This record gives sequence, C-alpha cells and structure tokens, in this order.
Amino acid sequence: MKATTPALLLAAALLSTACGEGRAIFNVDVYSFMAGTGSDTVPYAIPPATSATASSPAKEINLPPGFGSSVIDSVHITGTANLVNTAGTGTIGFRMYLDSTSAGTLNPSALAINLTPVNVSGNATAPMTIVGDLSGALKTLFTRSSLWVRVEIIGNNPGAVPVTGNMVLTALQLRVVIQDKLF
Amino acid sequence: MRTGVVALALALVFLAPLRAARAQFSFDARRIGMGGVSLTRDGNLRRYNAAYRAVKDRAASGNAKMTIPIPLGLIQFFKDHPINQLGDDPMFDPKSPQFNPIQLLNTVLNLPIFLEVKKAPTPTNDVEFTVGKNQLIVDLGAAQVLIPEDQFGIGGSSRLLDMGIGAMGFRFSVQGFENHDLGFFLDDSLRTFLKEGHPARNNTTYDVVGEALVQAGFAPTLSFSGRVLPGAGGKDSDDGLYLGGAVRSYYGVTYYRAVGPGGFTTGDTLFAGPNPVTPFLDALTYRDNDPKKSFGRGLGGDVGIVFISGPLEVGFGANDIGAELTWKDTKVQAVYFDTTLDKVADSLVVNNIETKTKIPVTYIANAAFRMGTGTTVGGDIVNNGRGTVIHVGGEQRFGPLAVRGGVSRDQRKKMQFGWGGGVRFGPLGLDVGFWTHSNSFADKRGVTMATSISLY
Repeated sequence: MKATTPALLLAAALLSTACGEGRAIFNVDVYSFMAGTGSDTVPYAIPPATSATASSPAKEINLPPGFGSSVIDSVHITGTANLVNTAGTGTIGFRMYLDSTSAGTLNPSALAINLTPVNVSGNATAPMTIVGDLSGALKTLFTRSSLWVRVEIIGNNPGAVPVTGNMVLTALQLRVVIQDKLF
Repeated sequence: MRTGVVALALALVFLAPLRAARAQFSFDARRIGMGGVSLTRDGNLRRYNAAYRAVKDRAASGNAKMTIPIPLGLIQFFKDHPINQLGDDPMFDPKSPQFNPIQLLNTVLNLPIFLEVKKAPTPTNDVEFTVGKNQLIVDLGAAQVLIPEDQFGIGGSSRLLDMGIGAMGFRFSVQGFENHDLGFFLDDSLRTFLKEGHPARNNTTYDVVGEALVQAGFAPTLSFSGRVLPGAGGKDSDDGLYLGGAVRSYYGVTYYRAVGPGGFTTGDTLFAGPNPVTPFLDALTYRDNDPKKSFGRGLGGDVGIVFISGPLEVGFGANDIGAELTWKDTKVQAVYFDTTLDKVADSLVVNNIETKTKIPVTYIANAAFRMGTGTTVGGDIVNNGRGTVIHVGGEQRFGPLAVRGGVSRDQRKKMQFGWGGGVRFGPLGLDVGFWTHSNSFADKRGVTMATSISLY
C-alpha cells in the first residue's frame, strides 16, 4: 500500500460506480499544478532569422487511480496564455506534451497539442487561446494514476532583432470523459 | 489499498438497501399480495410470539400445508442469462464494457425468483470530478441519493434449530441462536463531501465509523404456551387469552466484535506537498479466546400474549428480553493503519478479560379481523432488532376467488404497496401477488409479480 495514494479520490471514484453505465467526467485543473512552480512560464529568446524552441520543466499531474480497464471517451483541452513579448517581431507557437514519465515528454510521440503560431511584436502582450482534443494512444494515459505534462513554445523570427519574452500560462484545463469501468 | 477501499465503498453503497430486502422477502404470493402481512397463524407470528405456539391453526383459515413458489423470474433470468454462457455473460464479467456492478447487486437484492414486471431503473447519470492541485469536488449527481444520511447496515437474530420435547403446554428444547449486526455511518465531512458535493478540505479526516458484531451459540430453553382463559366461544373455539413465555440460558460459542473509524486524512495540499492523503484506521476488535474453555453465558426470555374473540385476534410477543452474554475470556486487539510500515497492523490491547454483549430484543404486534362476509383485514409491526416494518393488508373472498391488497412501510421508511388475487379449487390454490419495492439503487419503485401454488 502506498500512503501517497490519493485515497480520497479513489473512494470517490469507487462510489462513482453507483452511476452504473454513466460516465465519469474529470475536470482537471492542470494549471493549478503548474502555477508557481516555474512550469507555467516559458521564457523565449529567438535569434534573428531562425526558429527555436523553449520549454518548461515537465510537471506531474495526479489522477484518480483504478481506471486501468476503463475506456477513455475523450480528452478535451482548453486554456489561455499570454505571450508577453518584450522585443522583436515573429510568431510563437504552443505545444503540449503528455507522457507517463518525465523523460517521455521529450519524445515527439508525446505531442498532444500543436497550436497555430500567434504573431508577436515589440513590447506587447498577445493573448493565446488553447483548444484541442487528444486522440489515439495519448488518451490512454488518463487511465493511469498520474501523468507528466510539458509545455513548449516554438518561435520563428524572420526579422533582424531577437524576439524575446515569456509565454505565461493563465489557465489550462482538461476534461476527461471516461466510460466508468472501475472493476 | 484498492481492496480496502473497495470494501469500504461497497459497504457504503451496498449495505444500505440490504435490510429491506431480507426483511420483506416471502415465497408466498398471498402474503406478497397483501403488502407483506400474513393473515394466517404462521411464519412471523409463531417465531416472535411465544403464545401463538398454543393457538391452533384456524379451521378453514387459509393456512396452507405447503406453498410452492412458481419461479417465473428464474425462467426469465436463465433465458436472458443462459447457464452455459454465464462465463461470458457481461452481467458477471467485470471486464465487459456492459458490466454494471449496481445491476449485479440489484439482482442479488431482488433475487429473480419471481418476475420483475417493472424494474427499478439503475442510476446511469454522469459523475463529475473537479481535480486541482488543492481542489477536489465530486458531484455524484442523481446518485447522491445513494449516500446514506444516517446509520445503515444489516442485522438480525435467528433461531438456527429448535429441538425438544414437551407436554401440557410446557416444552424443553435446545435452540441454536445467531445474532449479527453490522452498522456504519459516515462522518459529517465524508457525508457532505459525497452527498452535497462539498469541496475536499486540507488536513481533514474523512471516515466511516463502523461497528460489527457476530455471535452464535445454543440455548437450553424452558417454555410455556397455553390458553389461560377461554373466550366466549367456549373451549371448542379458538377464543380466549393465550400466554406464552420462555426462559433461556444462553451458551455463547463464539463472538467477534469490531468498532472504530476508518478512512483517510488529507494533507496540507490535496495532490501535492509533503503531507499526502494518508489512510486512517483506528479500530478495536474483541473475540472470545477459546469456546472449549468457556462459553459466553447469559439469561433471557420471551413473552407473548394473544387474545382471540370471535373475528378479532390481537397479539404481542417479544424475544430475547434481558439477553446479555458475559464472555469470561476475551482478547482485545487494536487494528490500525501503520503509516511507518504503510500497512494495516494490529497489536494486543488486553487479553483474558471479561466482556459483555447483548442480543437485541425483537418483537411483533399483530391484529386481524375476520368478518363474516369473507373479508379479513390485518396488520403487524415487526422489529427484528434493526428497524421496524409495518404491514397492513386484507383479503376479500368470493367463493373460490380471492382479491387482496395491502401497504407496508419498509425499514427505510418507504411506503410499499401490494395487490393480487387467487383462485382455490379444493386442496389446490393458485395465487398471484404484485409488490412494489425499493430494494434497488434507485428512487423509483420496482414491481415484482409473485406466483405460487398452495396445497391445503
């Protein structure tokens, strides 16, 4: 027995069997796990006439255990971020990686979201809306009791001045719909 | 971990409705058609009222020599779930996407002996969890009704055997007895968390307080039952005042008792930080050391009274009055969750001490009125040691035909309804009864159609 097991969640999840054939829906506030840890902010500095990536440290997200045999119906991601640009003109894209291990989030196969780049310019803040749905193998990660998330930005600088700034997450939520198969 | 919490959750969700099921089930369609009341001098009356053992079966009262249920429900059940395919049946296969533990338990609670003409719907609502680093909200939706407000559990006393001899109203016998009581209640934190969707709090214990007792043994019994006053109808009639009583010396062979809270405690942060959620268990268990060395001893008794005057019949009986057993050689252990070893552990608290247990008093009060027009009405109040059940019903006979109806209030204080009818040709009777029940995990009632053949 692991004392670290979030037993409260598990008990609640077990009680959700009362819903019979109903679904278990998890609204996971990923941002709350990342805020204040440094994982919610990604500094970027893109030299002139290049493309570059920058990333935050991977962060572990706890989920209710016991859904190993469940079927994940869908995973919908929503969120917002601010691109707090301090200099230069270019585009900043947003990527999110999910995996069962911290190191696994570095693999290309862990790519969960790849948003269309947003234009940034000068000393200004550009809002970014994060919306996406997971598909395929990544959905099965949510049958685990925890997963790791890593946020990456990819910047493109066509100009002659370095593009610098910070991508600051302001909200990131997952809505996981599970066909309840606890036993 | 999972096993323990599964057991906890199963206890929470599953035990609450059990008591209604076991208290109300009958194989007799006549009784079911009258909402559970029995208008004949059998079953509960003789079990719970010592005086009824002296009251003869009423001539032409409808006491059947044998009642055989017609298991239409079993036929339907095995048609839907062929025996040779049970291994692959989604109903019994937890790996199947169609497996629904609630449906399976409903089947256990409502044994498919009789036909379920209206099934209580199984809750199928979504359950929503809101999870954050320091946030957890569980919205069970319509399934919140399944979370019990008060103490819940199962319990009762049984006479496992009754062998003896008697004469002149006196009887000496040896009875086996068994008593079990399993009760739980949720503490306020857990109840509001699950039932009202309150957010989980930091540094808070969420627990279920449980108490379980099982005891069994045998009891030499000296009893008396007889008519002490004849009634206006004379000795040849049933009229009169009947008294019954018994004195019982209990020899407890074994007992086990456990009491205490179990649950979990949240840390400084719900899903992060140095103090994660920690399982919590702090119970005491009691058990007799060796029945070969000493028995749990006690004295108790039964009383009963029946008054019959023409069409009117009333009675009251109580059992196991004053039955307190003293166990001379008991071991007390503490069962707790050891956070260092990360497992459940136990330790001896004290050994070879004297402890006492009680067998709950059970009682029945009944009344029946037989009119000369073929109408019989009656009712009873039965308490088997854990909750009271009330039945009121009646029967109207038209020659070989009978029409029946009744209501009852079950142990969950829900009103239930019964109706039905029958036809009798000489020694053979065919009866059908319909009965609403709330033994399912749903607010809505189900309806069972019972059919039985009676041999008179």
